[in-house]
Amino acid sequence: MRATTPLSEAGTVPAAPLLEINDLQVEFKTYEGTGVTLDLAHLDVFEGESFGLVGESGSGKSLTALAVLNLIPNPPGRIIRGEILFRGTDLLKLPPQILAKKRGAEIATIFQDPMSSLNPVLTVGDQLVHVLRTHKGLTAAAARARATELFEMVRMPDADSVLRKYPHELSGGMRQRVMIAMALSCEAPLLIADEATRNLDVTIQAGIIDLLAELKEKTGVTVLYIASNLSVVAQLCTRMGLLYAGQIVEIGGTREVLESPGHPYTRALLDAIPRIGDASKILKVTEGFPPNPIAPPPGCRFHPRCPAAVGECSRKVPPAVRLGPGHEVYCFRAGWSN
Amino acid sequence: MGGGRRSDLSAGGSRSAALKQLKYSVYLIRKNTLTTVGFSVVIALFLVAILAPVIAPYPDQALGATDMSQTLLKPSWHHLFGTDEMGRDLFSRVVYGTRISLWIGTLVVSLALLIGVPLGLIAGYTGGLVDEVIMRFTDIFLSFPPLLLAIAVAALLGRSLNNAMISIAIAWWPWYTRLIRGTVVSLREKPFIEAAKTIGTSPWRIMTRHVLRNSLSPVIVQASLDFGSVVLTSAALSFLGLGAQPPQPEWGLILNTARNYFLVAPWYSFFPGMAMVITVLAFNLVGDGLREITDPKTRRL
Amino acid sequence: MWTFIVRRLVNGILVIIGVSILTFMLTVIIPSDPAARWAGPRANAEQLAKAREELGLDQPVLVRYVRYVSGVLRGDLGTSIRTRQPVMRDLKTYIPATAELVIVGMIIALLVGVPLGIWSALRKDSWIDHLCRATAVFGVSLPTFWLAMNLQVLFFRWLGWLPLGGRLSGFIEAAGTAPNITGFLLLDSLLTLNGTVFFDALKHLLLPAVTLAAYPIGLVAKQLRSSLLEVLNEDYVRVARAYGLPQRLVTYGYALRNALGPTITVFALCLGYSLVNTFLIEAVFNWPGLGNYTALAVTTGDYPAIMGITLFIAVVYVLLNLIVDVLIALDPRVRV
Repeated sequence: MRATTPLSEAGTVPAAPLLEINDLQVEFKTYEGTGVTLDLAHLDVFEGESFGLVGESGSGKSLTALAVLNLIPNPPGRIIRGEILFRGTDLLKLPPQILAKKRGAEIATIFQDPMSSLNPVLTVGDQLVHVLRTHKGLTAAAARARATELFEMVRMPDADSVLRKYPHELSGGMRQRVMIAMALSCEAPLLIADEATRNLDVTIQAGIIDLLAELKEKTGVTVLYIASNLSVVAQLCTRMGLLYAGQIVEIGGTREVLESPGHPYTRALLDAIPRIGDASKILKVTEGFPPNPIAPPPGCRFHPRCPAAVGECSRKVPPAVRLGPGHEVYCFRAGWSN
Repeated sequence: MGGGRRSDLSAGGSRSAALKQLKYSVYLIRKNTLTTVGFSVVIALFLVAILAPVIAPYPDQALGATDMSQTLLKPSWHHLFGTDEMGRDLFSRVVYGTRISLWIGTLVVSLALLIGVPLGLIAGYTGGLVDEVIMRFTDIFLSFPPLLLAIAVAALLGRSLNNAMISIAIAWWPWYTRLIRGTVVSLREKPFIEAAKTIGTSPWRIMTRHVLRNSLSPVIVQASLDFGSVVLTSAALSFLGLGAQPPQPEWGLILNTARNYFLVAPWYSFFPGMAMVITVLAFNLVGDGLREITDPKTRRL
Repeated sequence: MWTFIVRRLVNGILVIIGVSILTFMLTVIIPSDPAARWAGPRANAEQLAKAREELGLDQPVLVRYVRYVSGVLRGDLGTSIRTRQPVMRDLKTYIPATAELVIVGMIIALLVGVPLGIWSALRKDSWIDHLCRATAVFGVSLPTFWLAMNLQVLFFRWLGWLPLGGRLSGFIEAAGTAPNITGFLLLDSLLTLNGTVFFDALKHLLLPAVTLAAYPIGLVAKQLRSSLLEVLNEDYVRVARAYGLPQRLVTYGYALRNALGPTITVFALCLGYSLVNTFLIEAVFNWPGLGNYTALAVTTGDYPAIMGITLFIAVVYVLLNLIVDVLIALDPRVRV
């Protein structure tokens, strides 16, 4: 377990986080061996904020969403240790029926592929009604009425007739609105959006992002936004965390992290973004690939590719270093710049 | 996932990639105990068939020599499975029967594949009128009750094992045509086929090199499953007197005669029956295992 | 949807015509002399010639075929050379026996096979799963006649619970009290409220039907298990679980509905395979159905009967395929 420091400003005691993940480790068994694909030392999401968890493909970010719901496919995956505290209750210790009640009602999730997230043989209205009736105990008629309301909330054109349509009859953007409506239906306090705009084209993305921002304003829901796209997080989130090879490398307020990144990885990510007016002709790409979780490098997982690496980095696991209020970096060379 | 591994993306694949796939397949087979059992039994059966003259203690009796002094004996050390009503050692007959059954399975399935696969390939790839005509033709044969066909062939050409095999093959090929046509039709639209067409690859080359290679796995799975069904069907025909003729040691035929002695000599029908069950079971397990292995969702490499 | 059905029907008719031509050609080629059979063993040359003329065997093949087809369209399938009855009447006598057997067998297959498939998928890798899979694999591997014989030994010789064969016990047949409205004994005895016949028919039906059901049970259980497992891994099932939908709804409403498609197709296909099995079962259990009739028809070269049977079977196959196609087209994703 890696050393952590409290994120609070010295002298003030924060409210208890809505979601708190401690020392969560998930392992996966494959043909070539078993590896720990997610290793979260500590993650807090506070009530009312929107937190962005950023990482590249394979960094383990989608696993985080699945872990919170305890839906990691087993085999081949397994949670080996850790606790996930939601309003103080450890979700991993709950019996299945109680957990099922919380899913949807207290934690709502939007997944990344709206086409495959909807049952192809049922109308979208029916699926929404199922969720409403399960958690709110409404009658069929009341549920349908509420479904129409929800569709209007997500700005679904022609809400009434869409209710009767099948998923394949809707466009990608509309399907994602259905998923958002489903997420809002139970007025859950925590919304997890797992790459919610990934499979949509850019113009539709903008619409969905605006919608999410607006809904957050309106309902005050807490959002955990999982993304690979820095710009989306920059637009939507007040706090963010970066995930590399299953581990958090940096956490802090969005502004602080993006303006003064503390971790070489973050810096490299930001450097790689091409900017208008930039005269250089070659993208600043970092050499190498993320490590194989079955045989990760010793010490800091980023050190083989890190321009700032020193001897210590390959021997010991870096502890959390505080760069500013609420801004932490897990690095021996925290604050390094070239 | 990264780690420096790059997966081979070409449709054909290099030799080392193919070898890797093969090793992975073997790994998956061994992981699944049932499939391993199936494969082992199939290999054992082929060995028994090949080594029949060595294994069987009374090979001449297997082929028909009788010994009326030893009729309907119970299983003993001299006669592991007992003897039949003509005094023949049942163990030897069952062992030689393995030869016949495996021969039938191999021949019939190969024949059906030989007819069915090219037809399906052409129908699926060419499309249009050719496709329609071939599929109507296939439908007709599919609607033809296989038993009737076998009976007709038997009446026409005489009752023999070879004729029974021909009629089963005729009844079986339409399934492969349909199967492969379906796969080919869905592959036809895939980008890599269009790419091949764009650079001027001849249709023949596309069909054999690209389409066939990618549509073979369901056919292979079906063929292994069919091996068992063919053995069952041929035994059924022999049971009805339409296939193997006495004194051939074909299992179905043995069971036919054994029926009459059911009360007096229950072992007579038990052993050939068990032999059939084991054979068909083994091929079914292999077929099921192959199906799981070739399923892209289980292959996570 | 309707254009789809019409198209498939037209296709089916073409197939039936094709089958009839094929069979007709076969009967022409088969070297047995129906005229000799018709005229009787003691006929002299003149009577044989007359018989040939009566049967229309002296006409060219095409004429014979056309004559036959026009007869069929009027409902006349010709006269059986062996029984000397109209083939249509023969079929009406023998088909219900086979049909009853097949229907009851298939019902048993569904009642057993579907739950087996569902249980083993839901409890994957548990001992229940292994048991169900073992049962399924055995079901498709057992030779029908072997199974039939062993069941006879078990239930007739050793336990004495069930009869050896036939549709009804001897004393009922002799008394002639069995009702005959549709030819389906179970149905008829229910309609006439004849309890004795009902239970007797049921007892006789049990072993053959169970034997027939063995293969479909295995096939359905295997296919359903594999389809269900595939569907349970789909995203929408995960989403349903992520929203805490009750387990029952997820299994039946979300997973099963999507898994049934391939299973239905497979089930319909094995009805065809069951035809071969029915022949064997009728032989072992001495069941007076289509199997026996067919075997006799072929060995005596009774070509009108052969044509009639083949046509009947072809029609059944075509209808079956049509039903399957329609069921598949009910999936909202299929554009029809």
